[in-house]
Amino acid sequence: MATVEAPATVRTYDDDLGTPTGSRGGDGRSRTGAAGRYSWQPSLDQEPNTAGRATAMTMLTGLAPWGPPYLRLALWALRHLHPLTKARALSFIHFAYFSVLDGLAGPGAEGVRKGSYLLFESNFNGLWQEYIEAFCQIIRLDINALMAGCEGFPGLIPARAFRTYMENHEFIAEHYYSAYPEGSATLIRGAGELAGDLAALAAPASREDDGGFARAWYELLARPRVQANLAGQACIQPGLVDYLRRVFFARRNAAGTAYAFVALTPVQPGRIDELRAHLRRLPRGDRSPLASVPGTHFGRWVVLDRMFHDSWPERFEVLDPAYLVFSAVFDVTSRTALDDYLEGMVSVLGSEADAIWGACQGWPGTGDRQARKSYLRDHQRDVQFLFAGYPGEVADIRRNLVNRELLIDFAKRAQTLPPEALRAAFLAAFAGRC
Amino acid sequence: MDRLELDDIQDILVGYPRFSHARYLFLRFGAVGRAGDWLADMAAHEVTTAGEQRDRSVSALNLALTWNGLARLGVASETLASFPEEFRAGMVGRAARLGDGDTNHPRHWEPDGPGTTPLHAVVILHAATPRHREQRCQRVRDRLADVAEIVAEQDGDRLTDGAPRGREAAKPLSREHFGFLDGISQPVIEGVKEVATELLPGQGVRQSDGTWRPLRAGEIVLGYPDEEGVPAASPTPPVLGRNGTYLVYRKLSQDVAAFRRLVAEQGRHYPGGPEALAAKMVGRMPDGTPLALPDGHQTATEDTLGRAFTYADDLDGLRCPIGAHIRRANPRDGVKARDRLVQRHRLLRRGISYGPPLPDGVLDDDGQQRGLLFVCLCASIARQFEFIQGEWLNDGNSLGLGNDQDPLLSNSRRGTNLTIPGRQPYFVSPIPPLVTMRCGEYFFLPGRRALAHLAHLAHASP
Repeated sequence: MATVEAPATVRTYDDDLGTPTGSRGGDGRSRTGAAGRYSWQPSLDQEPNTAGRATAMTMLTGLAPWGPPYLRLALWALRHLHPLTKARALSFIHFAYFSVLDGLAGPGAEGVRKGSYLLFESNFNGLWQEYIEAFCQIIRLDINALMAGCEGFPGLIPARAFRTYMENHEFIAEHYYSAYPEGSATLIRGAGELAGDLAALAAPASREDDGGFARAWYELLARPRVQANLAGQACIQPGLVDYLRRVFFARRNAAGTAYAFVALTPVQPGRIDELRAHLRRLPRGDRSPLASVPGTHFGRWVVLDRMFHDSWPERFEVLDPAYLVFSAVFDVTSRTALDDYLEGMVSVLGSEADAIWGACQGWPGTGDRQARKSYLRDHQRDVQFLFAGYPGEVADIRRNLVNRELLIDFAKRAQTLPPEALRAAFLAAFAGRC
Repeated sequence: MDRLELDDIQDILVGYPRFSHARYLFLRFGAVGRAGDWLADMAAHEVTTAGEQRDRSVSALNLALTWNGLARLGVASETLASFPEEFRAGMVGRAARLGDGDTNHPRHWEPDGPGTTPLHAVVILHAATPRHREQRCQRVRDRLADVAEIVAEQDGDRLTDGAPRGREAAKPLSREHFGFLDGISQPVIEGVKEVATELLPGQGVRQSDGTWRPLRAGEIVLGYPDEEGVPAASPTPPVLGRNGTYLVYRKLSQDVAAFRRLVAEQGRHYPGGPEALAAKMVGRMPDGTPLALPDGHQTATEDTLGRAFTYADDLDGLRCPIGAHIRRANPRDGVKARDRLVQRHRLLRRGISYGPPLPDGVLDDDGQQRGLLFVCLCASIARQFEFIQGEWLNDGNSLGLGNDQDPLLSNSRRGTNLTIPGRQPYFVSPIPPLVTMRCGEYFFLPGRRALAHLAHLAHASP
């Protein structure tokens, strides 16, 4: 009988990181590379699929023959009509978006076929398994309605079959970037809610009136919403105006001031491993190439090189050609925002763009910025529905997160200070910030 | 559902240990054939099952194995691979996922304890008195000669001084070292006859009509339907998993002097004073009264009241802060928008204190080792224990608490915070590490038939 010798002595761990060198994952997923994470400690951020508190999910699934028109209609309804109340209340999604892809080539039983697929990308907080569990338990109707158009969708209950389905169809990002890795969707919303309060304190602080500032501070602190924000919660849900704005003005690819850009470029034969290795070697965090591209909230590169075939016999098919997915969510401030963003990206990335897309078919190469921009534009795939977990531009979000931390520090110190000392302490803490 | 097969399920799984003294013997097997003989003998004569006549017994014995222990017994590689990844990796291998960094990093654990030294099994003894514990332990030692080395031992003793007794005379309640009544609240499990009629709000799973039902047995015991309606993933062959569970062991050192100093110092500024501050950190009064109970509810000894409460009318944490220890560990129905997910993260706790109490009023450490042997049982270590430890206790985001950690279990040298909501909120900060990991490991606690099966495998092993 085969035996496995006790491997206790190989349970090593990296110094300082608290990061095991052995297998990771285990939140119910069968593959490695899955990126559930626990408490917010940057040192634990070792997975290519994570960026601080955010985890990237990229899922590609085939569609039933009637799937494309059905999904386009369902996603249109989500974009314009659905109140999205539960998804917002769950508050663990930064941005999530759906693209219906037509004409993605791949070998089928009778040779090369043109398939239709659903590409789902999400930036979420917390554990993968909990995210899937929330799909199954809390936003079940919405997910059921959407996934009904997908080939092989097993339903949501029991969740185990759905977890397996997601595992089979998910891809791990080779490179993933977040502009604010310390922020969760809840913290960002809460910090945004506090921004107005901070501005309201600035007025009495500037009037050189210690008593007035103290009163304003204690009144502010007595508000349950402010207490909740300081603790780490978000309270305000979008109202009727926001809903009506979506009903009448929602656009493809966009939500509020956020735009989701998705491009699929075919990889040259034989260059998949080289491309994947290069993307994995890219510096992470604020040294990521995407950190220099103005207005980027999140960005990722994913290599799609296989497709799970759900009908019997179940199997993985090799995608030929493989595709490189680049997707980013960035700020839109004008009608030319996409052009401006791509312009900024190809010029900032420079030779890095060549190193990445140079492995793809048809890349125009160095020198011609306009041609490189056009290449990405030509390979763009529409996002039929973009869910944004919060409003705001990158700079505002970063500033709000820092201000929230400062406000908490101030609140802690303030509880041992006499009222007349509060104003000076506030001005010292927020000098030049509000 | 099927009735639980109590004559196959080990004793610790069904009833909270009714004895006040425990000993953990951590073993490393020698020759595999002898280990098989020993296992067969233990399964047939020594292991206590939940179905045994309990009234007249003075001790109980439970037996669990590590993944390395299963491998040592000759379990086939495909069977070993059928165990979940977190069990295979062991607690050290899962340190990052658990948030065991900083002061809790395995680098700082006891060098010869579970997790840091190769280990195959643990024998868990519970006894009515220290004398009975010693007698039972000697019997185990006699049978272990030439079979296994005892690589570590750990005693646990309930702190019962001044603690009230529960409604069952044979079930003493106990305090933990910080001075709070402990082990009060456990989920009610479906299919356990003696608790089926006790169901009260907050004890099981909240249904859509507002009533509460028992937690499905499969959340704790393998082989039975869980909250998804199907049995949780189980090792193969099924005989190995049926009636088994996973056991998590963590030796937690409590710095009682630091806790008292913190409460005294911070309590000077807190409007309610030090005692109220300590209660807000824990979520209960020292006598076990949950803060979540509406004003006017006074309870000290009725453990039904200590267990039966909800947070539904205290969602903002005005009575019990959302960050309080017991609320983090089991948020019941107090998680906005996500309360349906809570039932997937429940545990049976079977812990016991160790070390002598620090005399009342002492604010300086006396150098004695004391703390809690945290032991829990669950059908999925990753989904249940690791989620609670990593997401609810060592992080705050999923509960709306930002980056704050549990006020009692924080391992951050920089200190963590607790926000106490009120007319004016109070921030307890910084809270230094008060509880520190000393060692820990994951075990599989098989049913008795599975133990016999493992003994058979060991005999067949070349």
